[in-house]
Amino acid sequence: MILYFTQRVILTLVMLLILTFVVFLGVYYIGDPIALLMPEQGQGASIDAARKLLGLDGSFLTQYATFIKGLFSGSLGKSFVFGTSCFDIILERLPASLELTLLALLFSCIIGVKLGLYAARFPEGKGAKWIEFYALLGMSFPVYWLGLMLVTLFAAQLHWLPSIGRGETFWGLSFLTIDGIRHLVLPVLVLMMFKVALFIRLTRHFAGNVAQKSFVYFTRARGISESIIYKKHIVKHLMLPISTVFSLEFGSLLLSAVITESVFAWPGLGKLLIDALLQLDRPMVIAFVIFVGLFYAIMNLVLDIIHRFIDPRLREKRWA
Amino acid sequence: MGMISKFVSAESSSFWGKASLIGLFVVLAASFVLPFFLPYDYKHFSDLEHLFLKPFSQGHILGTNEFGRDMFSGLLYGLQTSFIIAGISTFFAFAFGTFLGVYAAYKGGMVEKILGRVTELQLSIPSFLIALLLIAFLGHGFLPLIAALVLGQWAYFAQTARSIAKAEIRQEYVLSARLLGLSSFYIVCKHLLPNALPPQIVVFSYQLARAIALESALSFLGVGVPLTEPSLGLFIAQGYAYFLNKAYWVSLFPGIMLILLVMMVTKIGDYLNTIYDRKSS
Repeated sequence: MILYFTQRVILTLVMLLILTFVVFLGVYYIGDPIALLMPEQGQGASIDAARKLLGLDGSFLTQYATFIKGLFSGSLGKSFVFGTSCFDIILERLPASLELTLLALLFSCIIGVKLGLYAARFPEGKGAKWIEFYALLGMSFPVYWLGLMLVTLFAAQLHWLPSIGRGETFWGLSFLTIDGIRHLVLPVLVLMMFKVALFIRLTRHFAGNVAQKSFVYFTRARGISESIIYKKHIVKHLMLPISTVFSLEFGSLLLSAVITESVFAWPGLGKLLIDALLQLDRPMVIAFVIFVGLFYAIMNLVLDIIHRFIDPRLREKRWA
Repeated sequence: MGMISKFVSAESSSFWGKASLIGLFVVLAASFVLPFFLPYDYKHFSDLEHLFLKPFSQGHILGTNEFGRDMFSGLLYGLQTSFIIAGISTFFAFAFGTFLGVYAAYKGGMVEKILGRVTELQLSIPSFLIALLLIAFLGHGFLPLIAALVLGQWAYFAQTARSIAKAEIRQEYVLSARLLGLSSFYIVCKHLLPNALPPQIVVFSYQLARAIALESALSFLGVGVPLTEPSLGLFIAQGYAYFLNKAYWVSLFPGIMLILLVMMVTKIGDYLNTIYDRKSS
């Protein structure tokens, strides 16, 4: 187990190093940041000074070395726009994204699994047809358009809910205050639209498969009621696939809620990325890419280890 | 409810699948042909005295926007942009992904392992994020947008192509082709690719729907097509500024059109999928 763990960590580190190299190479060969930052009629001397100040005067390898040194000191470089360490800004934005993502996923999972189970149990019923219709609609709805329509209806027309920002926070979290919860409702609903559809499709598919198994047949023969078979026995078999999808979706939602965050001006990671893109804040974009790589590497590692604990059959295999 | 239940259930999808196919064809033809016959061309006609005309007034079926441009014509041009960008990028993703997948399955060993890992990694990162980051490095414009979409999508094609080709390689006819001394290139092109094609067409349809959605989302954020070009996502973003006070139509109709388009293409994918299932079973 320890050997396996060390192997995985070393592999992850090597992959991250390759990622930084590729990203740096890409940025080094595409355009000169100085040209973007300095006014066009800048003096030769001031351009040189700026080049030195930003550490852009060395060869490719020296610049890469400086960059890596910065990485190990944990700064990930300074943002052109904010003027402080990119990594600090990312960490500062993380809680906002985390709470939005977790709340949306948790609700979607609960509702999606419930509806999916219902659709699997009564596949011919009217309810199941509506659920299936929702599953198709939810998958093809453009998220931002839905966001705008909800803002129009609930914020601008009815004045029930606020439309932008996080509102009051307690310990840096919105869902601990009434005002914060009011701010959370709309973005969480928008994020849920797609995810509920996803969980419905997933649950219906897996529950349909599990329901064919012989243990269900025997449980039924023992006189256990149909609703208990679904609520207690089949649900347990769905745990593994659902938890895998949950964690994968967690990763993707955390980093790519860009649209929802920008529609609702939610100060999370997605908003940070799109702002950095529009303001040509190169160090921020690089920092973000490396953060994404780091995030996925760690998540894969943790998932692997968790699965080994859940499923003993996996423990025998060597890493491939 | 009867119609809707037919629309969603996969078994009886052939009617709605065919209807979507015809619908898509009509929209496609309209978006490329109609602009030639409209009195107010979005690109060349701007009437600054009639801003925000309501739908169905003075020959503007969907009204005008903040520059007095005709929104019906704009919608058609936006659809053109969607079709061209999504079509080209999905096609290249298809060609690139299919080739890589089949090649990896044929080669096996290290090549396949590495490609499998890369595909897996790419599939776990949302294509939207990949496209967004690539645009950050490549810059704005049509070509970077297409490149970003291709790189965000190829993995889906590579995965299916690889699994199908792997099953196909074990068949006897591939072995006998090898024994006949035919070159690997010939076997891949003549035998493996044609067999990997039918399921790829299903994937193509789903990916086309995703590409349309992706393009409009990127354009909505202002990093997709150039801001001067007509695009559904861009209309929604620009029109929203005027949504609340007066001109709801500028962003409402492009939004509805987009949902219809994505649903139709998805439904066509379902339809092709049932046809393929029926044939293979």
